[in-house]
Amino acid sequence: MVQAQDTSKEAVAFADLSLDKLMDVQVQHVVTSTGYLQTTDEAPSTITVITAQQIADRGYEQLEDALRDVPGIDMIHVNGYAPTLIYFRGMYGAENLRALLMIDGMVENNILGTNDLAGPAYSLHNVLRIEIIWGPASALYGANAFGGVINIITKKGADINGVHAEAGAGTFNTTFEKLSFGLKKSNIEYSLAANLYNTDGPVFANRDPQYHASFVDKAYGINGALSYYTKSTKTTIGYRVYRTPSGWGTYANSPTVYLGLPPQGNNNSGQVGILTRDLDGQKPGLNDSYLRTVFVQEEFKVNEKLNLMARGIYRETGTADDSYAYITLDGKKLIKDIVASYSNRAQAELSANYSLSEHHKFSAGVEFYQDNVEQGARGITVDTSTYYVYNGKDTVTNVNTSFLPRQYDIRNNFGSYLQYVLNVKFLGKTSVTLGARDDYNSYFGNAISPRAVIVNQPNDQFTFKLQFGQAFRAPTNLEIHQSYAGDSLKTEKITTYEVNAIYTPIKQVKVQLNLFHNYLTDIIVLSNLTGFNPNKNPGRITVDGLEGSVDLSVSKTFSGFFNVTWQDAEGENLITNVNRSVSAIAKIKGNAGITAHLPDDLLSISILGNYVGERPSPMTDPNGPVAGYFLTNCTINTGKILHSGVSAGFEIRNVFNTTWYDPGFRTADGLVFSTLLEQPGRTFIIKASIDL
Amino acid sequence: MKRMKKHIILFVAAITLVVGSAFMPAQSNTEEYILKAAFLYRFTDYIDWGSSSGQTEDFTIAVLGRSGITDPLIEIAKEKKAQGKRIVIKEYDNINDVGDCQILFISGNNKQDVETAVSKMGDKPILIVAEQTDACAKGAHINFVISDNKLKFEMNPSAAAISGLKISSQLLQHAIVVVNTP
Repeated sequence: MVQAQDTSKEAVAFADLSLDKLMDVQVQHVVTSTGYLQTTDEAPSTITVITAQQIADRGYEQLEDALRDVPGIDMIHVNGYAPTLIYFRGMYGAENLRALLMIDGMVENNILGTNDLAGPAYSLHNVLRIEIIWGPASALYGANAFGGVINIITKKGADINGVHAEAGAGTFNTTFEKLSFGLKKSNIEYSLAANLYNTDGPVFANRDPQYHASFVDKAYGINGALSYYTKSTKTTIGYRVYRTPSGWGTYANSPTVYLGLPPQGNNNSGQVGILTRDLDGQKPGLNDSYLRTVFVQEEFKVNEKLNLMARGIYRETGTADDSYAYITLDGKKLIKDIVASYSNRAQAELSANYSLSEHHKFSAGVEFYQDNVEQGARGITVDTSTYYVYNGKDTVTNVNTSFLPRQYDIRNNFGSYLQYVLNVKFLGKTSVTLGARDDYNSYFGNAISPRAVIVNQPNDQFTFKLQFGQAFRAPTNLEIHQSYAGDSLKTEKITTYEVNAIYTPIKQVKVQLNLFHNYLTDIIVLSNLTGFNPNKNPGRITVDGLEGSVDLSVSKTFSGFFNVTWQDAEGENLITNVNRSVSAIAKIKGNAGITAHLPDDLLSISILGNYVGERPSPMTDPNGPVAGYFLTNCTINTGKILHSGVSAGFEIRNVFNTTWYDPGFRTADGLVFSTLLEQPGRTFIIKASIDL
Repeated sequence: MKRMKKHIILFVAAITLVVGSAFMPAQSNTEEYILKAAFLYRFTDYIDWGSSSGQTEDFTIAVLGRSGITDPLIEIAKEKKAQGKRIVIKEYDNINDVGDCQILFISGNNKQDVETAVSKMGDKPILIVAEQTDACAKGAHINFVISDNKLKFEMNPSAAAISGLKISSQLLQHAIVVVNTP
């Protein structure tokens, strides 16, 4: 496969290719927004696309690396379990539950509702592009397409066309190995990608000089697909699994009282916490999450106007039963806690795209899934009256705890949607998209998600979009079983209004402005803590935002970007009537970067900068707002060395070794959850790869 | 705050340094149109324009409507010949202004529809190439489509025959859809 390059001179090179080769070149379009192939300007949504070239040039190893440089996203890095909490457009709370993560159009979020979202198992080495759709998209995708949709499009056999192997190492004893191979020959296309990741993780010495809670131990991902083509059909079977055994990181406080250490600082008490150092040769804790998917998919091009797609998916997600933590509540003894969950989903869907003409297009689909979902975290036996002493110093109870039988619920969901696109030559080119989806769920009942979008392109230089959409987030079974007995949780709802202006004065420059208003209601009630905590209390959130971006693609040798985000996120607690700025959301943030390729592609250099302004912390946090920071990352890649298939790369993150913090989350009162989350200083990665 | 300012200044300085060392002249970035230009050029190997083609000195490709295809076509024209002739690229806003040419590319941004272009040029030995839904059904000879994230094309050999063009069977084999409407 030949990747299309970005210069007119490439046209000369392409002109020398045969028709066969030309027809094998990948073209950048997006499908996530409507189900049709469209450019990002034409699509009736606000879309950011991150290409494989940008992933390689900028040294993005994991999803969060790529999301760091796009506007509108705030993050809290836990450096362990989770592993990073990602908030779209001011939607703090409901950790990682308000965005839909998809791989090749199939949902990847945990079925139970734990907050693991991507992480080191999800290597980007076999990713063709990442499509990020901002705003509600439940009209197409149903539950949880709330703040946004991240659709990871993987490389297929023809895209890989051979073997790619990569190995790297870095700070904190980090090592990774990646392999992908694939081919398309005649009617058969196959691909297999695998990766392995290990790290000891950073040491936050103020929490514990022997800190060892941010490790990742043999996280892996495997993604394979086999397709068979006929003239009008494509049949694919696929399997993917992602497993991330990791420490608990800075999810909770370090138990400095128990360890006999000075307080970790920042108003954290240190009496309650999760053990952060090895115990009797055993790691201090383990969260071993897994997500598995197997699918069969049939795409059928009936004729030029009608395309059908049928898909069956079976998924299993959970936390493996080797997971555990040592917790102290009194600062005197440790209590062993074991953690597990298992849930599965069987899903069938049928969708159709029908182009009546270039003016009228329709999309429709039906989807049914049944969840067999665990009733929250699995119950365990408790014995805190028997004490064991390890190495003469560690007092541990509940050592022989075991799991109670798995309790589960069956949830059925039936969804159907219809979308109509009208393209007319009015004021240049104008398209109107109208759509709605209805979901009926055996727990929460009915939910209807409408959308309406007008896209106008008066000429080649300008595009204007006017968007309205509503979406919902389904209560997770974790929330359902943590709520008060008898509570029947409603769905969270969002209404979004958005205006976009895209200006392309010349082909090399694209300027975009997005103005949006998000209104979230019925935020799920779990308990009513003191103060406003959107993930724990009933409330509303109103977010107004403005995003500006400039993308430069000057030549094959130079490209750059700059974006800035202003957001005003205000929350209201309907029980306490407290109004305040939403935690963890910076009013101002911005990113900039450039990539330069030296002549003959000997070397490429990317320099990226991220500014995040001051962020409010939860009301219960005695430390108050968290200071802003500016980080610089640099990636240097060689081209193919001596025309072999071998190339190398070097990445420096946090080049200037800036000290930076993320705000605490949940209560962040310093008792259980930390007031501040420390972050690593300068780190390095070196890697080499070979293409055969 | 002082340290942050220092880091931002260093960041800007580093960017300036890298930009200075690697800046190259501006070129097109529209990969889709680079490909379309290459396809247009490659089509010339599979089309017989008949005797009328021999009467012109240049091989002219007309682009109707502003399009990202123009720049990569110009790059190809700088280094390649079509049917042994110099390639000339001409851009038009109005179908009525289009003069002699061998290929007419109707941009998706063009305000006039394919039917109008076909009614004006369909009886001349001009290969009409479009990039719109149903363009072949409306009389275009070749229509670009995106399928599986790859650039493909549909063909209407009947309409091409009416224009006096002969299309190689090899090219027809590569078309994903063959429409036969006059």
